[in-house]
Amino acid sequence: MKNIIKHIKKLNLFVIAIALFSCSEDFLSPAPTSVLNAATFFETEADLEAALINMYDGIQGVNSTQSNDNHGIQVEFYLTEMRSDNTRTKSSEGEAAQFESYSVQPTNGIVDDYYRSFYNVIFRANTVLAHLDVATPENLSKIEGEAKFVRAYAYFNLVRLYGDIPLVTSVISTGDTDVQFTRVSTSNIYDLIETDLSTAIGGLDNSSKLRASKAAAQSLLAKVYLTQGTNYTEAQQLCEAVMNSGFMLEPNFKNVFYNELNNEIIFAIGYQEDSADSQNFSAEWLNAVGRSSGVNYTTADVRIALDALGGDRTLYSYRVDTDQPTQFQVVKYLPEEDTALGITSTVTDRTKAGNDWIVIRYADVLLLHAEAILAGGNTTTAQAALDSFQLVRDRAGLTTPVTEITRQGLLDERRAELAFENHRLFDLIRFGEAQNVLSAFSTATGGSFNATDLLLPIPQREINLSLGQLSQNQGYN
Amino acid sequence: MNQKTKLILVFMFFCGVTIFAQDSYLLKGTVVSAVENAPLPGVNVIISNTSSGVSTDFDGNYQIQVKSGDVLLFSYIGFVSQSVIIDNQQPLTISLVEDASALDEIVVIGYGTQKKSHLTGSISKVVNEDLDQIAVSRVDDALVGQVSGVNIQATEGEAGSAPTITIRGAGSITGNSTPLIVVDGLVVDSDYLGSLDMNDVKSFEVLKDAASSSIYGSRGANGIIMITTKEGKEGDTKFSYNTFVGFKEARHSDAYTFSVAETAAAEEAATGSLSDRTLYKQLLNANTNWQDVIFDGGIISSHSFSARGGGKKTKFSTALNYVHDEGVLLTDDYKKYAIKLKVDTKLTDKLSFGLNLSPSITDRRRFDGSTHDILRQPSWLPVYLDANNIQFVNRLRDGGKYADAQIGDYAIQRMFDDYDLNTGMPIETGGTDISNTSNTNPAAKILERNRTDDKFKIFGSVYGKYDITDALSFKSTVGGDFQSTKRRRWQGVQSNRNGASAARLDLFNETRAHMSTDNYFSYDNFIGKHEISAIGGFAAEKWKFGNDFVAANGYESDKLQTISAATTIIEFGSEEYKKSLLSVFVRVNYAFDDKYLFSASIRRDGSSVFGSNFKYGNFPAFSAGWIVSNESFLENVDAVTNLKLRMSYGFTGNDVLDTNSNQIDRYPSYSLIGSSTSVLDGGLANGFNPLNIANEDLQWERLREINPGVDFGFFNNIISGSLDYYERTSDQLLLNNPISSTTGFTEALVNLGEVKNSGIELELRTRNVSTENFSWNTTLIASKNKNELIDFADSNGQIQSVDSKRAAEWINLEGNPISSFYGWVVDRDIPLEYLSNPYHPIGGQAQDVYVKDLNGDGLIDDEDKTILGNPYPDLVWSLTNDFKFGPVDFSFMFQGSHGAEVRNVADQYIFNHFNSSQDFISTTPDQGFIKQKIFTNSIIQDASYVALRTVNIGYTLPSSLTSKLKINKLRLYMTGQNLLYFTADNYTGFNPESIYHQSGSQLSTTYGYQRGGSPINKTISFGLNVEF
Amino acid sequence: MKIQFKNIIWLLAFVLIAFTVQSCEDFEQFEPAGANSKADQTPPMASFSYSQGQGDGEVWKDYTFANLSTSATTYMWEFEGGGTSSDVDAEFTFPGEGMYAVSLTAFDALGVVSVFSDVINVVEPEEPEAIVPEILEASFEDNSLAGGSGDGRDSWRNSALGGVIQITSSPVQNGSQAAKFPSAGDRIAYQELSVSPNSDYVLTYYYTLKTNNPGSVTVSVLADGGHADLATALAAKIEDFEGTDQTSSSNYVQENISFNTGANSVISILITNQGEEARVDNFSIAAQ
Repeated sequence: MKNIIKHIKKLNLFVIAIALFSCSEDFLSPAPTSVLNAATFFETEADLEAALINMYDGIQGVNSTQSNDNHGIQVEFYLTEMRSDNTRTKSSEGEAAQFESYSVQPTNGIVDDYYRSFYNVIFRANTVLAHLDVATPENLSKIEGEAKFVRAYAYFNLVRLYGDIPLVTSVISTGDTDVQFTRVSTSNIYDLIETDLSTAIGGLDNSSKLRASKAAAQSLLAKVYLTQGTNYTEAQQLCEAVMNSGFMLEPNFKNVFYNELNNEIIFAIGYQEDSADSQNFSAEWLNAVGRSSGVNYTTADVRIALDALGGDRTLYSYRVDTDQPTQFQVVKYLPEEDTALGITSTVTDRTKAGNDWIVIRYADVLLLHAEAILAGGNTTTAQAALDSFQLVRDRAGLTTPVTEITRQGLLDERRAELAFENHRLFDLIRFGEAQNVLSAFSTATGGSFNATDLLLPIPQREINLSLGQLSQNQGYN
Repeated sequence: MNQKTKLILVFMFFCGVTIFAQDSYLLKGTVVSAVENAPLPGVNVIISNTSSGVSTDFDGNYQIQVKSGDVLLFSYIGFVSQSVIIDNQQPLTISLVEDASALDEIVVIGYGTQKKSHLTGSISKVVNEDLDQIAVSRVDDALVGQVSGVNIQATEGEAGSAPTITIRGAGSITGNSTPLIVVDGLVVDSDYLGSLDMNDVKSFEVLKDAASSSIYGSRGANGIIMITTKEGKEGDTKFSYNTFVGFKEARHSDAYTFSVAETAAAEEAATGSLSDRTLYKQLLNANTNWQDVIFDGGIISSHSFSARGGGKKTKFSTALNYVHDEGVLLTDDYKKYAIKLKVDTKLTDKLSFGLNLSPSITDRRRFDGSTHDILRQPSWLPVYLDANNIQFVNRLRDGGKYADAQIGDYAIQRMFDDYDLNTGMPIETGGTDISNTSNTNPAAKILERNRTDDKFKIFGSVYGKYDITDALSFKSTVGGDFQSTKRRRWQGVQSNRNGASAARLDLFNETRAHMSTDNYFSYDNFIGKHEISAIGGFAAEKWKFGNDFVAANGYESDKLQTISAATTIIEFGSEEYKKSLLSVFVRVNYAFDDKYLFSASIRRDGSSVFGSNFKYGNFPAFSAGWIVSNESFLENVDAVTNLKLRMSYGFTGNDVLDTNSNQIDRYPSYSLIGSSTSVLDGGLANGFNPLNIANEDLQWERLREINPGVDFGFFNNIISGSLDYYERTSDQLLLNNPISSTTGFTEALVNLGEVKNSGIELELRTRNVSTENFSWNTTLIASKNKNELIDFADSNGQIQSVDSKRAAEWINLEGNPISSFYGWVVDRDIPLEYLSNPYHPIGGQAQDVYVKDLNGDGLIDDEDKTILGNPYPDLVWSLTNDFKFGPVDFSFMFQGSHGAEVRNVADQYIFNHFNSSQDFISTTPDQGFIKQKIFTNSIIQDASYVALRTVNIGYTLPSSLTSKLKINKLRLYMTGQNLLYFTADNYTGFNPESIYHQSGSQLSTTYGYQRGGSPINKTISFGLNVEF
Repeated sequence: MKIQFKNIIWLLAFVLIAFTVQSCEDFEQFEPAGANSKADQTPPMASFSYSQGQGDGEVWKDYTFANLSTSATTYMWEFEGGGTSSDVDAEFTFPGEGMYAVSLTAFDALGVVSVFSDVINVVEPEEPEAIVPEILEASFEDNSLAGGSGDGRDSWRNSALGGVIQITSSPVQNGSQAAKFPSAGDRIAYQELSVSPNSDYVLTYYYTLKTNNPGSVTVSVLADGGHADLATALAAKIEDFEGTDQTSSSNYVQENISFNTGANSVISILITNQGEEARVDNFSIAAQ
């Protein structure tokens, strides 16, 4: 026995070797070095700022062709313009063509992409709201307002596209399946949107265009009221508040899109060309430049409308596809130069475009103002309405004074002014014309429109995961 | 002449060899065993220095022509050979003495070795006899069909790509089912198999049951492959050189070959005329077979040189290896340079010391594309413009994009649109269009990209062993492996339809350091009939990973492919992460009187992956065996040579995660925050983005297994083998489970559910014939496995898909395999007259199909979906026959797999699918019953196959000749792989074994997705093996 | 040897067969469930929503119906007053105003039926007339409030803006009382009225001033209500008139203030005086 011990002494060598291994302070708990630990992260207002910035990253989405990435706002046009009578795919290819033919499947990847992306944006906003305690008193209301604006914005898009949806107002976890799979009625969703926006209006100022601002919140709330057909006067007051905040129409319609952050922009989503923070929807709208062979191509229907009502705007709304002269592309947000139109571009790879996406601009607000005064009626001659309406038309070179605004006239004006900016479908629905207009349109284009196509299906993925708890929208199997 | 000798003659005939008998007298006799005095069948009786001989029959009798002076040699496996000088004896009865050492083959187990006869777990041993002659670039490829319960699938098939190895079914349910690899006692990265030189491998031991592998605790859940490399032997230095060159070609799929002519014929038959498109396609007269273009075949060659030897104190083994595999795909290429040095030395009679060093370099060029994408290309499209087809190039359309097309340029589909058949001229617009994609030429996509993975790996270890007493010793090993990978991806100017603007360079550097140490005491002793061997010690492992990447664009040309030649850096990043493991282990093996065997072990592992409450896991095991054949009551039963009953029960675990984030895989218990950037008014701003939903309670996936088995040998091991039944149950499965995206995430790590793999394994070896110059052995290996989801808690019935764009569904339903294909059932095809373009681009194929209304309510909805099959084989088998006829040896192995299905999405791509959202016309009846084929069983195909895996013919030059050349051994051989390969009738793909895994998606719960896959390699190779 | 050989062959055969038998079901392609193999879990559920046409002329009679039924294959619409349709979504033009029953029947292939019906009240929407608000105690008479109460000035009080006005009995322009503002100018009259937004109104009233010192009486129309501070209240002015006619202290002068309510559904009247005692009487408001 003794000599065993003696021998073991000789083994110190090995013992040391092990010591070297395990003496590092806690061998089994190496701290992450390339990422942070949230448990200890939110300590200062600066951290909160980082979380705010992250919300916009979520809306911007990933510029990739990976169908499982969140592409955020970059795929919105599929679900809005391409479901309206404004645009279609060039060669009716793939799942993108389900929208124009009103044969959207619950398994459609883009439908899931958008749902996924915007609930992720909501999560990012809720993350900020969950840590407001580290905000300094003087900035608290601004930070809260910014987060709530983004949350309201996301819900407003989701509720208009999917109808009754789960209402997530805090950071939830895997186990909270009741929240995840309970469809909350549209009106309750709107209640949250309205309170969030009111908070935002209270807390925000107008110092930013690519971030939430007071004016953005006011404009959005006005639209929320009009969408529900209530509070017309409040809507009008909100619009007037924005109109008194120093925004103006860009004299040249082209510059609205090619002179970024101009006076007309109230809220836009920023992108930077040739970087990870670029966007690819601009390329998708061209002939086989993006992943698709060309989407968001203009319909004959919209071209007729634009030729008739567009004035100066028509030139900067659509153009001939030089590769396929029978086809017509959207001119807004071009990622390449067009010498004929005097549009320049500096981007190297067009699929990494830097064109900002405009969410709210002044012209939109002016027309909302007229709409608020119309207050659900058929016509108005109120001077305030006529003034706003005229401003928009004057910029388009249509200077003959308007003496009366009709519902149809306003709807048409919005189509001409805001074509391809993802307003058309929502406008049709808001004006109660969607079913008439779109069933006629789809009959003409061989689609299969039903009233239930005005809502998208809840993504099949969610239905599947809910194990029967989540019900599908009518008209989808 | 008796049955057997007739048989021999038959084979002599086969080998085109004849032998001449000589006159002499016919000696008769019997051979018995010395102990039991029992007759021994199959004993070789040979006249020395001649090729003539016989072997005893079932009753131990033999008869042979001899003449006085002959020396008769009696040899028999497991017995000491005897020689007798003939002097007119008649009859001659010989009793052979058993050779004790022969039975006690030594098997490597975790931390030590054990007599094979004393094994109580389920361990298979494969000795490298001629595995090194199989013309493959990786050792694991050579193991196919060698071990029961081990399923090796060439899931990728690209040169140098790792196969998927599963032991006894999907053991761990995480994406990773790769067994643990232990080389010379030290745990290494499984990727090490890619740099190992088969010529340097002495043997493989596969630890299959939990009891055997639980000594490696958390690492053992997927089974363990223990590799022993060759060491030097005392004596003169032996040199050996082995080389082969193989010619590889891909197995094509007839289902995916279409000629313009075929389509035209189909159309004419159906419609009585040809559409403009078809007429035009015929004019182009290209008829490209894209399989020939993409599967260009290749040559594989290998050179391996080794020197082994040593003196009393020091032994060494060193080897050089070079392999070059061109692969069967366009551009894929794999080169391996490996060096090996192994030295063992006795410093004193108590202290010994050893060192093992093997650096290697592998250079790999990838096939940078996907087969399904290329194979969907129409056959009318040529690869390059030539004198004929250039006249059809439309120089007007697309704004004159193709105005200066020249002979030799890549042909692009759009070039040929708007052709006016009447004038025979391309026109700017309104002509006949035949393109169905705007993409560039598929060959250009591959040839104009250059994607390489260059690896440097070094594996090294040092051990010291000290014999404290005769019985007790202590061994400490410190070692590790380091790996540095440089990935480079160049997408050239012509590789994309957008030309220079899409040219792009991606650089990705990755380093991986793995350090580990084992320190343990071992105690081996006999006390009377008691044999005890025990080990106890501890181990620590540590991994350090790091990577950084940069991507740039803005290249005008392919001339300078560097980052500095770019105008813009578009992406960049870096990360690092760590993992560590700390273990204590003890094992006691006890044998009484070579009859009763017991083994017990326990290992406690601590892993850095889990939160503080669940860091440690205990993995005990117990097993027992009873060597019945050593019992007195069987001593007189001649038929039974060896019979052992064994039973093992043990636990293993798993802590390997497979999300698509390196960080989450290592730190799942924290809620992690990564960086994010956003474009705000002031330009780029940095934000922080939550990456995961933390799970502090994440813990070990546990696997428990019960494994009764029997080892048997009858008629002096003429028939031998083993039969095992196993039931391995994994619970607390580590899953990256899909969750509602309303949480802000799409998946979260959980311990969930319980899966059972149960099965039977058989290894059966028969020595059909064994004489000096002719022997024939047969090995049958078969394993049947059943995978069943026992419990899936709240996720029972969960339906998920891997790709939101092609959302084909899998269901995880209790009572079925962990993942089953799910969807609608095909009813009938859509009649051609209802297809908008029935003969374009490929004849008579629709992407949609009528499905069955399972509940008859007239609507096709979720209720009409059902299980469509599952991807797990029920039966995997191999049948090997080895023949030795004098200097010639011949062996072949059939291998098969049955009962699995795959979801072969390639069909969707290839037959005009995804060409339009709806390719049937609006007047089609019952449109409510039409669904895309991808959501139906239309693309669920039987993945069963039977393959002639290897054929091997070798010729060893007679020593008389070789000795003149001053060499010990010279062997020429020829091998073939997959020369025959049969798949099920409805399988249309290239490789039923191929599985596509989208990283991050759960391999196990959405298994069996196939996108055409890369093809089976058919190889014929010629080799030479010299020892001197 | 024979036997040995037989043994082996037999054994091999046995083993192969054994495995084959055990897994023969796996050798042919997996056979999924067939048609009508399941029970229908979701019977049809009929449901619809509707909307009235908006626009000029007779459009109000045109109704569009959105079919919200689930799990049904065919439909039958029935409209009271004649008319059926088997379209998915229906349109129907009602003959005129009145109550009409509309029913939707949904069938599935199993013959299961579900009916949903609703009664629609069809009314022609008339252009909303501008609200004509009532000014309470418009000429400051006692007991002129509903139920005969009131001291002639109760409706005009707002202590946050100033003291309550006095009541005078002469001179008056109408009835037997008028409002009196002492020369101190510390009294105000204030009343809120609900109006239609973006509409033109004319506010008519009468005033007179004493002639001893120069002075004036101002009537302001303020945006919105709930005013509690004089300065901000005056800042919210839409329109006002400062009456300075001092020709006679006994003869009232009529004044009309016309204004547009803009984005207000409530306006307020505020009366103040400066320098000299003033009287006002007989307010009235009319929409234009």
